[in-house]
Amino acid sequence: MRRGALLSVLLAVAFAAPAPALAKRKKPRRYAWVGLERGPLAPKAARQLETLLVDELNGYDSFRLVDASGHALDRRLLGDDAALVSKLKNEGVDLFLRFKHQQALEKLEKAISIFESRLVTLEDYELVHDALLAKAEAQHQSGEHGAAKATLKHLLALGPKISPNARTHSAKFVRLWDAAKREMGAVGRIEIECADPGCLVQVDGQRLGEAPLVATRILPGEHYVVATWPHGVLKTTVRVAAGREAKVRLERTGPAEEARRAMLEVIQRRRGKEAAPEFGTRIASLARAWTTLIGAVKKGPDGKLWLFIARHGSGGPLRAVGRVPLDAEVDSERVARNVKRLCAALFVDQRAEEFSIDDGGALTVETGVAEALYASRISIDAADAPPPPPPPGGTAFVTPPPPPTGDDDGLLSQWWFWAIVGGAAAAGTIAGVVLLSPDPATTKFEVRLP
Amino acid sequence: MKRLVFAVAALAAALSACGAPPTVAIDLRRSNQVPPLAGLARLRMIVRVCGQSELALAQNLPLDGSGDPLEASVTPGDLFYVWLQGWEECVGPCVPDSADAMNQQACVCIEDGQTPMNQIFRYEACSDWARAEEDALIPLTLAPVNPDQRLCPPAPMTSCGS
Repeated sequence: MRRGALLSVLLAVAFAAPAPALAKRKKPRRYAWVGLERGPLAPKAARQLETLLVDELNGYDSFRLVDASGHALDRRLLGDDAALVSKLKNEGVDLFLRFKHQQALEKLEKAISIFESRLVTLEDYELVHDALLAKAEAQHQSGEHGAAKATLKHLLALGPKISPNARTHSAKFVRLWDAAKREMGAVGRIEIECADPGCLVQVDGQRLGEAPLVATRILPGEHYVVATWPHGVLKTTVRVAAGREAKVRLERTGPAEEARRAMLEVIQRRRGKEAAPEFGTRIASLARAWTTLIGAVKKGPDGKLWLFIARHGSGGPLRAVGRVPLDAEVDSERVARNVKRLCAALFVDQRAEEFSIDDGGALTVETGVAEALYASRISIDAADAPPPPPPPGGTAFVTPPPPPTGDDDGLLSQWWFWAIVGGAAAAGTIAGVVLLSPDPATTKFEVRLP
Repeated sequence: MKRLVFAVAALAAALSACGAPPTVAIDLRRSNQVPPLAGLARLRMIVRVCGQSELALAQNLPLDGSGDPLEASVTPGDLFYVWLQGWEECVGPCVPDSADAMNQQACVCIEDGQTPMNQIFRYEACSDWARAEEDALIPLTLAPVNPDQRLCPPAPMTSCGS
């Protein structure tokens, strides 16, 4: 009996022990996206294609995409950090309500610091707004009024939607908030440019469009500027003085960017597939990623375009490489369909070989695809780049609108009409007024709202 | 004599109606993803006539549906389209108003002095080309802006004539 019980316990332990390990393994792995070597594709079309690719890759549950520096390209990755910041903030508020101001401050500062280091790419800053407000309250309660005002100014600079009032906060704290607001000073501007074209800029979570641009109505203080390319993210902070203009130039530098560019150059300069693993390993290590992915567009000997995606393992070796036919106009249905097929073969079927997929979706395992990508027996000629597509929204109007036609006034020229009304002076006056009035040159629009 | 007076009055009324501009009624609905209009910062109506570079109408509509019909410089017979834009308030930094900023759905600085200073273009409805000939009803549905599939302007016309 005792032996049976012991066996049960041992069995339970044996099965239970690996459970956390298994649960941990279920967490999606990080894949580092190196970028797209555009080959003969026009830069704008290449950015469009890369955006399409990254969007497609972000649809897989089995992994989460990061850039070469390890910044999240998949928003789902930010979820865990956001949950952590939220937890810390709630714990901080809880401690503050129990008058443990110092401990509360520690938790809130940690929450703010995690947000600043990992979450400034979010478009919703409510988390950090709440944490800053709670921090200011904790500072105020512990008698650090100057520090509390500084925290409130930091919060005000970020343009929060929240605003403490007499119903939510003590009168003293509301007065402090009002004083901080009064002392903010005149708004300034931030002139933002990116070293590489095609970067989308965000300031304090507010999407502002493609650089170069000037962000206006910036309150004095510290601001978070984020530049996003399809292949990566760059974050920086900028301090704006009252009524002044700050300039920011966003340029990706550092070991991760160098390794990324070097890996793309391996394809560009046909340095052979032996060189790729070296940089693949470096990127995987810098991005803390399990796998490295790289894309490329190449022209075949027959002049046809191909899209390649290569998957390298964490140690750098090439695990799989596939290719699909491509159009120069990358926004076609054919391209979208082929991108899906290529990704599905790599990440659903988990192909671990060299393969080609044709327009009909047929997959052929063939050697030489890796050679075509890295060592290149396929010629690359950037001078063959197709002409840029016509500007969107171009007008094809060829003729101006027809001139307005006059109303038919034949009736008024009838002799019998005048014979009838000739004696009536009033009628003549009315008819005269109507005849002299201009033809309608307008249309009325009446909008019925739901 | 009485009959003559009636005839004159009827004639005057008919002639007056002849000179009155046609009325185009826009029946606006909103899709499920669009919040109630009262929550918008601005509902802007644009009317553009085929082949003309200047807008025939660019005006904000009262969000409560009040207000008189708007008169646009659309000559009867002209081809035109109607574009309704729903803007929401945004907080924080903004960029000057431009077609690019609008297309990229950026937070735009608005200087009209009547609506919030920072706004973002979130919803739109667009008619097809229509001809201003007589009183007409155009049903439109306000939907979230899809940067990849913009509704306005409608496909260009090869000719603006009849």
